[in-house]
Amino acid sequence: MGTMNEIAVMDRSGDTKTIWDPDRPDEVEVARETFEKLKRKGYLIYRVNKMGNKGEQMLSFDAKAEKMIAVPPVVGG
Amino acid sequence: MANAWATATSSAEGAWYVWTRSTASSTATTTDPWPDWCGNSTTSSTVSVTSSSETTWLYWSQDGGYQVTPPARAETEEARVERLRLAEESAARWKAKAEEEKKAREAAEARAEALLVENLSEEQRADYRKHRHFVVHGRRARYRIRYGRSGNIDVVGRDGKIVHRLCAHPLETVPNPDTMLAQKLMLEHDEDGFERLANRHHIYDGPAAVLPALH
Repeated sequence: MGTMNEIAVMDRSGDTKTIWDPDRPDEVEVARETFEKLKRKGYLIYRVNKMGNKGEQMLSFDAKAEKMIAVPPVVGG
Repeated sequence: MANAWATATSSAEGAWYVWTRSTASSTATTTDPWPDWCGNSTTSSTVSVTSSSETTWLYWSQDGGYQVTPPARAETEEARVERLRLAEESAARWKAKAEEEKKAREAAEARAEALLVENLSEEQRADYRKHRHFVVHGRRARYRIRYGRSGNIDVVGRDGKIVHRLCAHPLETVPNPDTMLAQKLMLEHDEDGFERLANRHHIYDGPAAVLPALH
């Protein structure tokens, strides 16, 4: 098993992770579907790296992105 | 014990006589209605009757006369013990549920905090651990993101003082550290968009400098 990539989706439990092996097409497809579903719901998805460096906002799925964070729609409070 | 009132009116015959002889109503006005009731006199008397007898109540209700709330029966010892047992069981269930929810909240908070800290710089991490806030440097201002969900972003000017506060958070209820991470990510990637989206709260008689002045 190679490196596992992940999308952490923020929710009531803190976050729920979808992980995939970029070398396994079936897992990549599940991750892609998750990504697309989140985008349709209005989530903002950011690719991040550790140490808090600014990453980038993801507009399309990248199977090679090691770590992404999905933020639920944000509203003014 | 049932309390019920009945008034019998009769101007011609004793009330009791009337009651036992016919369905007509009768009134007695003497202070001692009993003789009138038993006899067949023309003296009228008015009396109110209170009955604490179940038998009397049954008669009255069956006759369709007075609508009376059925007497509450005294609770038996067995019923009392059962009632208390059920109450204790219900309280125990609620307590267990509250405990379970508390544990779930604490686990969610810990999980969200781990995700947040993992995505902070060293300086931000140190600030968060010490003060439960951290600073994001934007193009136009510094944003001090404090622990919380609403109104927790201080927009800090060059002099280190708070200019105003911003309030924006995920629509879904997520733990506070998640909210703070979401705010950080949005400010870093779309500062203008976040300022437009967030509600702005003005500061009147603002505090002293909260951050070092920028020179």
